[in-house]
Amino acid sequence: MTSFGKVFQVMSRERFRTTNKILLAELAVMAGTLLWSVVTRGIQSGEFFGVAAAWSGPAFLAAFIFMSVANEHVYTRDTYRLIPIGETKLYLTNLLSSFLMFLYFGVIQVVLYAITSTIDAKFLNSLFADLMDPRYPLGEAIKVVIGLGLMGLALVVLGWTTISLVHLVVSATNNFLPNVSRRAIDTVLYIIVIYLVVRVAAFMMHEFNNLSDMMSASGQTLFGMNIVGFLVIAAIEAVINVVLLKKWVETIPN
Amino acid sequence: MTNVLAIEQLTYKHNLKTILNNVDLTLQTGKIVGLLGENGAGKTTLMRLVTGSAKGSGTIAVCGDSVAAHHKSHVSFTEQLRGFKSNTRVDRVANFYRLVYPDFDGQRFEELVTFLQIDTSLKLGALSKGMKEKVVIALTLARQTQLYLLDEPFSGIDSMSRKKIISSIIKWKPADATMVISDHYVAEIAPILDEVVIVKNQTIYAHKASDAIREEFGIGIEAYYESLYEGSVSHD
Repeated sequence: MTSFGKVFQVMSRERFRTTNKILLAELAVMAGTLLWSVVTRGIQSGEFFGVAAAWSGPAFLAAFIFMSVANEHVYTRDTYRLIPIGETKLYLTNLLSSFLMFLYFGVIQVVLYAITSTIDAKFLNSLFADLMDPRYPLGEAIKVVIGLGLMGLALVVLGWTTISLVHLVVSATNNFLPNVSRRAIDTVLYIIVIYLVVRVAAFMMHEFNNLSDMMSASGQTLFGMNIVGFLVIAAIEAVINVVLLKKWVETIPN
Repeated sequence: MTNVLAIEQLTYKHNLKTILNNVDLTLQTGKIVGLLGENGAGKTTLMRLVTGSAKGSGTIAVCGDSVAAHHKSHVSFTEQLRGFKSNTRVDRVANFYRLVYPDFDGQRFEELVTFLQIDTSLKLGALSKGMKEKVVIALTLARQTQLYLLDEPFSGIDSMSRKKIISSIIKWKPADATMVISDHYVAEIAPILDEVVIVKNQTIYAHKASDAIREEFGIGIEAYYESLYEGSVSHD
């Protein structure tokens, strides 16, 4: 059987290239935006950081979408499904390689923020001095940033497991349905499965919040419980996905 | 001789349609087997069931192992490289195979590349149909497994390439391995086949040794295959 490391290597290689392409595109767009500013009205204070922050969002979205496509690609292609490795290992390696590439993308964004905020340090310092409440120490602000980062990563994992769940349920169900009006059936199936997944996830999150309330949790605990809640739902979805892969999901024929 | 493949009561349905029904098939090691049948008979499906790419009911044991996930280690299948982007170079595909298949023999791949005259610097999207099939064959045969499944390796390929592929099959098939070649063109592969398995009416309609066909019916494999479809020869 193939080792986890080897499969991880081949899966990450292509995603690493994709991530770098997104980063290059982001840098090109940032450079273009700044060049446009230079030509039209000159660079304003805070503009470097502003441009980096503004383009970071779409870049994150692009990275999420490209990794999602790469994830789903693995489940229906013989190229990956024929690798001598169990479905559980294949699924987890796939998810992990996307997650680490997304993390790498996030680290580069932090570096970009750091570089541009250094350039615009004077402007940002005065801006934060105006915004910051003296009773609200820097340590708290850092905690919020870390918390939001963790929440973001948990949501990304949940997003991928949910997309896979919808894709795999529809793919598995397709085997048992007649071969007529395929597109119409697929569309209806996608709507039903997305609706069900969202409803179940919402119900579970509601239960998690109730649990936190029962524990008379503080804001921080409530926040932490939400992250745990997302990860628990993601884990449940991952288990269902692996079962679907093992039992019903077929690859696209030659 | 031991059995490399043992299939019992295999049934496969797709989109409410039965493709294969109650298939029983046993193949011994060291043979070259022709899997014959008209288009849509279920030849590719049968191979996909053996690899685990399709999910049916029944038992499939490869080298005595009936765990589907383990079949992948014993079977080398001509998959059409759909997991790669069209701008992926052939040498990168080979590197992928080197990494993920512990049984991939790099030396053997290089020999096959030379024999089949493959330019590994070309991108997949730039390959002609025949050249792509040669790449697929080279990758499939470069693995050292017990069972090779070649799914219609000659479809849409010119006769020179076909001859090259047939020669590579003869040259690189390990003596103790079994090779199953699915096709509906029988003439060119007939001389190399030890056995034929004919898929018809959703099941294995006939499974005979090539020599037995010649002795029993006094005709060649191609004539036997055609007569089964025309109904002039009844199978046992």
